[in-house]
Amino acid sequence: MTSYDTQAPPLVVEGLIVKYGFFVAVDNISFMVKPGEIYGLLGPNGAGKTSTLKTIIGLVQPAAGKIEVFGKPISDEIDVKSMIGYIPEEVILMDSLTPREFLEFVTSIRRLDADTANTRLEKLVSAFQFREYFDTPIAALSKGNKQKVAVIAALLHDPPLLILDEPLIGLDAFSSKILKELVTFHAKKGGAVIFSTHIMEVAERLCTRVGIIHKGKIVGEGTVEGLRKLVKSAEGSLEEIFLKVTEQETGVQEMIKALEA
Amino acid sequence: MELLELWRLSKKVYKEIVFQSVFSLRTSGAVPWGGDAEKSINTLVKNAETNTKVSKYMTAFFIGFIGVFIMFAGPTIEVEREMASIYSVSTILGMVLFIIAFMGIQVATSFVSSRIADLLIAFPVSRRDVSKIILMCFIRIFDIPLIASTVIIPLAYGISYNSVSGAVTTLLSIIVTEIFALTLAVFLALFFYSKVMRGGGKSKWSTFMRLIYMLVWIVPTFLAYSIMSMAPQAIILMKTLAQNASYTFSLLYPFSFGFLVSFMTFFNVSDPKILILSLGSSLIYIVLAAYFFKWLIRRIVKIGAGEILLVSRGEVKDIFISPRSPWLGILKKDLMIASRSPSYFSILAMPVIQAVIFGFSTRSIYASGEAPPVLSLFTFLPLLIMTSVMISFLPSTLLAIEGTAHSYVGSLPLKKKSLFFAKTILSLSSYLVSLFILLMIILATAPTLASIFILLGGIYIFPVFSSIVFEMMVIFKMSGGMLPSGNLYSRPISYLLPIAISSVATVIPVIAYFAIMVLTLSEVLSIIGLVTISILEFAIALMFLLRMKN
Repeated sequence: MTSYDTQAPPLVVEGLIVKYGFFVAVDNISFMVKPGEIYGLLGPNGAGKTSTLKTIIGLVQPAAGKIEVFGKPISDEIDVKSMIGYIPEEVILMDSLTPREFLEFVTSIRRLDADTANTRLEKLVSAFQFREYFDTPIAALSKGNKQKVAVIAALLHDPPLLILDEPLIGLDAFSSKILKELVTFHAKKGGAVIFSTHIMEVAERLCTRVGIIHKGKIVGEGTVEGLRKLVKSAEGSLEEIFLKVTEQETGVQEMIKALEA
Repeated sequence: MELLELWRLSKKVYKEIVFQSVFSLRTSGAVPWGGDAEKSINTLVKNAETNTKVSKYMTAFFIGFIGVFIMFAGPTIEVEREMASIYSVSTILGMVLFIIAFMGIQVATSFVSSRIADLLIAFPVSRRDVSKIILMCFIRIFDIPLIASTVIIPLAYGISYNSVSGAVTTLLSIIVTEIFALTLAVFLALFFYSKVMRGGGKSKWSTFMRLIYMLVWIVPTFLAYSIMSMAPQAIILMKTLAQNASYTFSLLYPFSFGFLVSFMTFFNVSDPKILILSLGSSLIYIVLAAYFFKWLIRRIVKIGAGEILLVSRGEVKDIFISPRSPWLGILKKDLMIASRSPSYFSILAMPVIQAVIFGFSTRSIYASGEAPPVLSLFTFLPLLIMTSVMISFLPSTLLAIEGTAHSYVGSLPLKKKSLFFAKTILSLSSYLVSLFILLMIILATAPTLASIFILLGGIYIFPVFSSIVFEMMVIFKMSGGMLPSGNLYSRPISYLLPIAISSVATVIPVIAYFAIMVLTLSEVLSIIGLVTISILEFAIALMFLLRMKN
């Protein structure tokens, strides 16, 4: 694996703008993820979460802005990608391959040696109870099991920065718990995590800090406690804070009334 | 629900199957959302529909053309009209069986794997109606070819032999044949799906078996397309077979129907035994067709409902993986995917299959072994050009494999150099295998010319290498440095320019050869020109590769 500057922040995003044609998906956002931190990116559908994460990993070209991973600009594509473990929102792997073949391909690209790869693989496969599906074509796996393949592939090289886009979708309760534990353990040993989620309880329980993104802009950022103070809602859950910050609270009330009527 | 409404609804479901058949590997991960994505996806959907329509109309055209040709060519054979009728009907039945079964197999495989019921389950449609929709979808897959054969062939027979009763019996035999063909297509699709697409396993043996199954699957499809040129030989073959053992063949399909149709046309009983045998066996085939028809309906409904597909979980002995160097990892993965995807495998195998066909069809030119070197060059160079043009379809196809899981593969530290290296090696391997096959044919037919062929084929590695590299560079340039999305089947227009550039790169050295030959009439100078341009192209391609940053 590429050696990295442990003193540099795992992720710095400054003035990021992402456009699809004339549509501005991400509008000048800035944030930082520190070592040992789990940063939650929250936002309604189409807010720009996935676009932000895809830009960090290099799947989408930014229109403007700066992104650095452990002090390296994302233009150092190979070095940056070597330091990241990524789980996409929509898990589309190579369906005709088996998990064994797919992971062999991934570890080959990541230049992992057989011993390191297999030691970690053994642990991950056992943790996610995945052994029996190891030679089943990915096309024949359930959504949750495909998600497990993506999770294992993302963690296999023990990356210092994890980028997880809705990683819990499709996972059963047991695997969700395992992944959450792994993420927490990863942060405790100094790694960094940025993940997007719709599940507020998970964000509330797991994240060190959250950034709330709405219409491409970060409209609130800090710890859950800090956000509570910011929106003057000392008792409110993260969900209430989220709705207030994204100015959707009134809309929700009106919608419920309309539905009840 | 009314039949008309069900038929309309089945069109929507059918469109989804068509989309899946063209995208045997999905591309959605590579398509961004926003304004461009909608246009892009619409283009992909439109291309999928157009491809399928073209394929259906081509099949219908083949059947129609062959039907008319055979029915009108039959009476021109120097035999009695009764006999000509037997040969014509037997030939066309055999061909219709082959064409419908093998041309429809790819869509039938998608039908098998599509789980249509999943799409319909959310609608307020009864189970009975779901079954009807599934059946209608299946009919839509084959509608035009089936209509073409049902209408054109009996009509052509009726006109050619001036017989209504003969035409009606031909119609009956065509219906039986269509049922046989559909049964064969579904049987093969099921077999293919269970053995190839869902076949995991890490052993070399299972990989080898997948390749064999794939060949069994692909080669007849190629043959189905070239069957048009075989029609005259097929009639002669049928004639020889039927003449030599009339009693036996009157029992066998499709000859039994040939004899029956002939009798129903001329009502001339020259040998009552043959009439009884053919009538009896035809009746058995009709009963068999009725049974197959029932089996087909039951099976199609089951397939649509996903009842036959179970997740295969074999016993996993170990979970050991063997990482390799990146380029080898890419190469191995590409081969694995190609061994399970008909669209990728067919493009990978095309140069080799073409080498076999062209090698044999051009052997008469140099087979005497006395052809002068110039004639050999004039024969071998076009052979090599044809092979390299086929090779030019490979880089884009192989790059498209990466695009299928772009949302994941794009996040890997994948060096462009490794990618180019792996794809170049694989494409070149296909060229070398084709070269080897051509060499074997030449060794068998004109061994004295083998050395010239080796020399030319060897020189030609340079332009082939360059064309592969140039093509990939253009593709990357066109997709803004990202991995391309969609394969050759789904986005044919996007790949036109890269493939054209690649083809030009392979042709330029040959043009130089002929130009120098015309200008100087010197064979030595022409070959020097060929070698120089080839090496120059190679040097440029190599320079591009070496200057690549990652």
